[in-house]
Amino acid sequence: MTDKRRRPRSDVAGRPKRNPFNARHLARLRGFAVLVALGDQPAALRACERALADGERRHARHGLAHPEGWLRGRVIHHLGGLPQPLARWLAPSDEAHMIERRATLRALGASDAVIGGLSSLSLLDRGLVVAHEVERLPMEEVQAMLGRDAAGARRRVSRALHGYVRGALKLLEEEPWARREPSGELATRIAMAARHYPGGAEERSR
Amino acid sequence: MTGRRRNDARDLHDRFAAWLVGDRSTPLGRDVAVHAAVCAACRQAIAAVDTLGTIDIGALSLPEMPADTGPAVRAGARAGQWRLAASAAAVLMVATSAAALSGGLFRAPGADSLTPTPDQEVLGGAGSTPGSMPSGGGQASGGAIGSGSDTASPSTGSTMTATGAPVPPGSVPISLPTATPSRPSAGSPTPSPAPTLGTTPSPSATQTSPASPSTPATEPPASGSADASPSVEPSTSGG
Repeated sequence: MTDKRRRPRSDVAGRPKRNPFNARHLARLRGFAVLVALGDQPAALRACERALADGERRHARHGLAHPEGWLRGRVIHHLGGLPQPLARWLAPSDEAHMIERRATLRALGASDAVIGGLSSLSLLDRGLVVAHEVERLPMEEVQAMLGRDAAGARRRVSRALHGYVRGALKLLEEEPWARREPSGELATRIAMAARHYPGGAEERSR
Repeated sequence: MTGRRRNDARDLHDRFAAWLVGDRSTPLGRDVAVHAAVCAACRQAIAAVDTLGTIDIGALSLPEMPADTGPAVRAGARAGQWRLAASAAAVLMVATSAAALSGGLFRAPGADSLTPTPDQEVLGGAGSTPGSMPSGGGQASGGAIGSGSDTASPSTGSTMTATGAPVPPGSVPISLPTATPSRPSAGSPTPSPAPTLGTTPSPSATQTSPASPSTPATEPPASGSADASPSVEPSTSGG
């Protein structure tokens, strides 16, 4: 009986068999967890596994209307199982571990400013910024993640994003690329809006 | 005029910040867009938000997770619990050892009143006034008397035990259980005769020391005598 439970389920080729629910959500949820855990891969993977196990159970019993948001909420819940000061104290804080975490975040494409901005946030705010700005999840998923109504979720996301911008601005001044003309999607949109303004050119030359 | 323009800029700045962190699906006012395009702080805020969009959340190649997440989850939970328990045990051990080192945990109740003052430590109890430490002074003087009867004056017949009973002359030297002033305080609380002993060290010392002036150099190797010898010194110098 016990052996049966412990035996890994595998497909014909001998690879571990993954159920469809996990297969659908695993890759992105893992990236989300790593970003929210600020590169702490073991903690992120643990939280991700638990969230997927919760989600699988929940999906089988009741179904999930917004699984993306619900799973991210569970990841944040499992990442914050301990009070933050205690978790910070228990987490390895040696230099090698920090370098590894930073390298993990850089592999995802996060600059120093992004890391600084995300580090200045709480766990939930970090999750909101990642879900809303990085993953571009619809607001309904963010509501499911928070368990709030639309207005409350919007307020919370605004507050989190405000905190992120404030934290990132401190480091952005030191990054050379930030002094150049912004070239992202948002910057392009703003430049387009300014260009169509009749006094835009005059204003810019002033 | 300049102040008004500054207020306008401030207003544009705030409006842009509200738009940036708020619902960006709403169209941005053109005046606000022009301000954001030329304002350095606004451009940096745009860059901060734009860089979030460059993150590729699926770019990281992470180790494969086991398909059967149950045992893995349980193992992770167990590891976390063990880690927490080990940390709690370490904290408890540190706290216990700190309390033991400070002497607060294993000290007998009321022992604070029996611990000698620093000058008593140096003088072996002889520096204490009789009224200040009745029982400690009594014990110290008992130690001094014991050593005196051991070496110098077995014939004087004035030696006394810690309980105050006189020792017959020629008897075997009594080894008092406590020689240092600090030791007897917790182990053997002295009864009521102790204050009377505390008043008598100088007479007994003055009796013993003149009896054999050559003996102070021959100190017995016992630890009690080593502690007791300083207590004799003041009385000899005084006598």
